[in-house]
Amino acid sequence: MSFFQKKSTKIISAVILAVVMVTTMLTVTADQPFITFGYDWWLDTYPNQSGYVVDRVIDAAGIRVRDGANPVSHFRTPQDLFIYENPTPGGVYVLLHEDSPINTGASATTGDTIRSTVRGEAVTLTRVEGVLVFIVDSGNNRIIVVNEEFELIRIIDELFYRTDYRVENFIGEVDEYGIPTEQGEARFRNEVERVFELDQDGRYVRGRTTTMDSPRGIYVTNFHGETRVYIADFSGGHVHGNGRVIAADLNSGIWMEYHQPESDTFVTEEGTPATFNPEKVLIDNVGNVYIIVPTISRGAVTFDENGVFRGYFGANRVAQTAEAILNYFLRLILPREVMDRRVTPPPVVFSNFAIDEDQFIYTVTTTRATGVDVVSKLNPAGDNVFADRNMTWGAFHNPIVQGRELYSQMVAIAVDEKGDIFILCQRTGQIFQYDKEGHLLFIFGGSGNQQGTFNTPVAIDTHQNSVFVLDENKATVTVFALTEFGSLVATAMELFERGDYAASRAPWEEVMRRDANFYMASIGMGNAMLSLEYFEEALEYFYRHSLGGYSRAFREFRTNYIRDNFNTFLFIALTGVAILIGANIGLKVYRKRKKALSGA
Amino acid sequence: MVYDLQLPAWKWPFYVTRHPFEGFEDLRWKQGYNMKAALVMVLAFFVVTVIQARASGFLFNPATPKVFNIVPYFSMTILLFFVWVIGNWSLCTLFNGEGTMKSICCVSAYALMPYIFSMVIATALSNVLLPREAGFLTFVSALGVVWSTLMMISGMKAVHQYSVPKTLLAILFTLVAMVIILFIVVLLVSLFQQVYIFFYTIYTELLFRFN
Repeated sequence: MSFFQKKSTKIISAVILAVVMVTTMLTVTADQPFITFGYDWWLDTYPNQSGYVVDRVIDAAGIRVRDGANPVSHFRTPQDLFIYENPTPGGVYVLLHEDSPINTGASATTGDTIRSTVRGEAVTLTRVEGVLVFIVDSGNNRIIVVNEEFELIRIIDELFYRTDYRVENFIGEVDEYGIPTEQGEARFRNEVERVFELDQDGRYVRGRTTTMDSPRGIYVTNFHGETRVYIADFSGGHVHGNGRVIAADLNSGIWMEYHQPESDTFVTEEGTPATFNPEKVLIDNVGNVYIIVPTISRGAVTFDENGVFRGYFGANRVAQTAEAILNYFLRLILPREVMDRRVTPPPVVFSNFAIDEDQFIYTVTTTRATGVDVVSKLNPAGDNVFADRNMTWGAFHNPIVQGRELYSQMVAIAVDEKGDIFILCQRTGQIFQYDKEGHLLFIFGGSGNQQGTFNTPVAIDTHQNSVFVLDENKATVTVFALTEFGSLVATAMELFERGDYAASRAPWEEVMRRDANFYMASIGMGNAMLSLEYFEEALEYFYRHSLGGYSRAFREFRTNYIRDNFNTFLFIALTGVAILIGANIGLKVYRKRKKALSGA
Repeated sequence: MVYDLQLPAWKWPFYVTRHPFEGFEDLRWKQGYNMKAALVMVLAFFVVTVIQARASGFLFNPATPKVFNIVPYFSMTILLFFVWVIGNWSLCTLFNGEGTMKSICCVSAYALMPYIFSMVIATALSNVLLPREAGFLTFVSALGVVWSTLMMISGMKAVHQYSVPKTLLAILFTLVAMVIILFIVVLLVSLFQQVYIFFYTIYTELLFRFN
């Protein structure tokens, strides 16, 4: 009889198995698939409580549509993500997709409707409140618009030219606004030809539609009271393609396009004519359009609101590499003709940018250094506000795989309402959150295939306290939400940034109670103690956390110390002087006597 | 002022510090060289360097290491000092220098006096000053360095009975000699390491063979 056939053994083993199963189930915790850490004074890593946790991961199938419908096919290499919050209350009126759940009453957020005309047809526009999330589905040449609940709003794939569309180099009659008044051909500055047809009114460019060719970037803004969608149409990277930035409304109506400038200054560093393949686009509050074109290393290509080329904005400095320094010395020695044959290293093009509410443009650059030019904060004049601040960004210790160091590759940046800066590293899938002064708050995310880790993350944006990350290969949008610890830090940071240091003491103390290593908490506590005039405690918190804070605290401490102990200092000084004088007199008397004695 | 030059050994460093130019001639005349005093001085040099690294104020020494290693400080002070003495002796004996190993060692050690004092004062000051008052600190440190350098030059001049240009030249070549000595030392160490590894390999080979 074998061992397992005994009844008692069976029961015992079943009980043991059950216990083991239950306990293993209990030990499974909602742990994150990535390590959250920070850096100490010596830039060594140490573990931190995590500030963000994965809220949800959405792919094309996760977008909510009308029951039974399937209008959203799988994302193919999505490239950009934008979260648009309409500044005017009451939401925006949109021509909904026919399979939108809002359309069919399947959503709780059904808005009221108005009648309007789009492309000369009478349609019903529905009011949509809250934020709109734009996903640039590059491989499918479309832009998917969803709301906060990931309910489908629209799919922008085919765009049409609006009646007020302005064309350049139109062969034929145009009115005072540059709108065609007769049939004819429009030749664009980059030699692309397009035929315009007019309707019976003689104004409407009817029937002309256009599609995008691998769009790469998007920016949505409210301008002159209307929602404008700017799309960087990369044109598949083709040299003579139709690279352009499309300015459209929410209902796919194009009212302007920004094409390759004719200007003689639109050339590469080597002097050859540059191709115009827009990758990312951004608009400031006066309607200037900033475009990142990968072939142009002199900064973002800038147009004004009317499409006039305005030059370049915010180029990075040339990195002081060994080659650049060598060239500098060679230029002193070698004749000009020889130097001209040497190829000088151009400055690195920044890979992405974002704009904050105060119209500062933040750029992020893929470099090996963790120094100043990883993140630049450019004022409207194009000067880097962060240039002389000695700030550090990104990872200090890169992973080494098979003997090769994997340098970080910063591909995207986002700035939230509070001014916090988020940068996304494509190589490690990590997101670095900094406050507006560049203090590191949280590092989260990672590389991998689990929820919360990434394969090829390409875009990041924030809304309130949520962080949205778009992954190209996984074709997903991952939404991170604050943990309890994270919201505690956010509360403390809000008071801290307002300068209400004394009030921030309680939340910082709670933060330190949960994670005594949290770097920013020490700085926060130091400032709280300084404003409460506990200078010694402030010194302790600032020690090996903030040189500037320590200096301020020490100044106050020293002044107070001298004032409080002034009597003691005075007493010691006076006693010292008295002793010295006494000793001097005594010595003289002694010598005199000795002399008198020896002389006698 | 007339000085009584029958000084005890411990008073000579202070005397030459106060008289950086004539003092070394007096020292040579009275043969006030004392190895114990010199070694104490070199030890003080080492100790004060370590103290400066450890006890400087946070504001002036923010990059204090997380894990303190005393070996670099030892080689930066004591080792470097003796390499200097040996280098100088080996060079100047060939160029009509009158200094002996003992006298060179003592003179060099006594010349460290102002530097040691300035380091002590600077370390103390760094704990009470703010970064914007760093001028005082720089002044004290610079004073110590300049004073010690002058003493070193005049000490070398006196101990070898050189002219000033020859002294400066000798110091320059001493620095070159130091580099050569250090190079040879590094070479020797790595060579001995190779030899050690060679014998160790034979040892392990034998172990494999007879096990």
